[in-house]
Amino acid sequence: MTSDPIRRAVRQLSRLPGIGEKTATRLVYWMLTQPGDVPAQLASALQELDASITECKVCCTLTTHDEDPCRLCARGDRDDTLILVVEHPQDVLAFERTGEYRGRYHVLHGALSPLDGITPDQLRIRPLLERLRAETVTEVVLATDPNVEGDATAMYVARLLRPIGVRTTRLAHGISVGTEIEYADTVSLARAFEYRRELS
Amino acid sequence: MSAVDLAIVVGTIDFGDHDRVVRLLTADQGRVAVMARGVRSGRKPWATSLQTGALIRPELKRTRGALPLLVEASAQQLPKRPREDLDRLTALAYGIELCSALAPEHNEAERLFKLACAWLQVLEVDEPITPSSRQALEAKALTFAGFTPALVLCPICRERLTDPCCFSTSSGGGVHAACAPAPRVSADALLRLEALRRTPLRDTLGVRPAAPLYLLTDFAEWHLGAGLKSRPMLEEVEGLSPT
Ligand SMILES: [Zn+2]
Ligand SMILES: [Zn+2]
Repeated sequence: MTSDPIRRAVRQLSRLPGIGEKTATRLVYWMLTQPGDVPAQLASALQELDASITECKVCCTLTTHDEDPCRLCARGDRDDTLILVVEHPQDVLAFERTGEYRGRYHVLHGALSPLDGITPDQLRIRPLLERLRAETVTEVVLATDPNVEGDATAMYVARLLRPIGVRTTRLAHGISVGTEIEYADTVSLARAFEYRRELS
Repeated sequence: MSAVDLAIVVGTIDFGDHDRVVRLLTADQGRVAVMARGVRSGRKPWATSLQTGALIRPELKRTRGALPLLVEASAQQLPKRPREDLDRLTALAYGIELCSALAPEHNEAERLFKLACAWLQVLEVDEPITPSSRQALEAKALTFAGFTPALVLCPICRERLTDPCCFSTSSGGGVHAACAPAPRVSADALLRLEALRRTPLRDTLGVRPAAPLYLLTDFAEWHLGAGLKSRPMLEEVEGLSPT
């Protein structure tokens, strides 16, 4: 006989991506049988997360209430004329790791997915348009994922940007560095061919 | 599961850390879901063909699990122009969802499958995609699914439809205003939809659409008992288009 608190915890955990009811049940029983107060510590960490994390009022990435605008938006040494649009906050970190990008960011929090019913109003597209009206941006780089949802998102945003007159570019697609052509997948190879460049 | 020759990828859902459940539309088995293991690691080059609207030749294996295993898939045709054009991409998502939603699960759906294939072909042609083609697709898909909308004869009195007309989903389509009260529609619009229903998809491009634009979309959703997820985006993008 499963008591209600256990069932509630299982239900909440199984809402997490990649966790089914079976795994959730295992996790709950594991936590309950551990020494130390695992559920209380987890609960307080999650509560703190909920209380302190917010979306940056400029770029919409995740930040704390104490740092809003976020650290990157607050920095004075970044190029204000360039905005890189990404799907997720993690994508910002990926670009920062390259050390190549000096402009600003905007996080959409997802991608359009007609088949999953994810429509433009669920993404942070409006705040992006407001930024473009207020800031001195000359180029928007659409760095959405190279899949159907990422393509749809990039094309949709590009269409909204057209009347604003800002230059809109998209990341190049192709085979990843270090891949031998023989082992590249057909889709990436076809795209790499499609987006080939002139050699001078 | 018996052999599946060709399949259209309808969509995928991430499962666990490495796997995906792939929803397919096939001629012999209608709507099927299969499990593709390890396709998110980047180590299976064929996994990139598992995108909405791809026509694939799947290699399936029966397992003790709930879903058949997709061992490999070779891409026969991948959407090209839809990935560069928002109108085509939303039309693709909508058309594939419509055909697969109307197809039975694990049962023959040859005509709906062929219709979906024809839709994918249309989305690759040079001319702009117009709502008339989408209306033609809807009329054909409903017909192949056994939900042929009444567009010529009133299903209540069996007489030819003449103004004033209404569209009554629960009565089966166009009706005389006197036979069943419902939202008004012109007899001309119904005839226009009937003509689209009978015209090959390829020849419906550029034809003037019938008003209201989403009459058969509502009809399909009523028969399905649920909304089509890609519809809001379709309406939004069709609304943005100059046509
Ligand atoms: Zn910020
Ligand atoms: Zn009648």
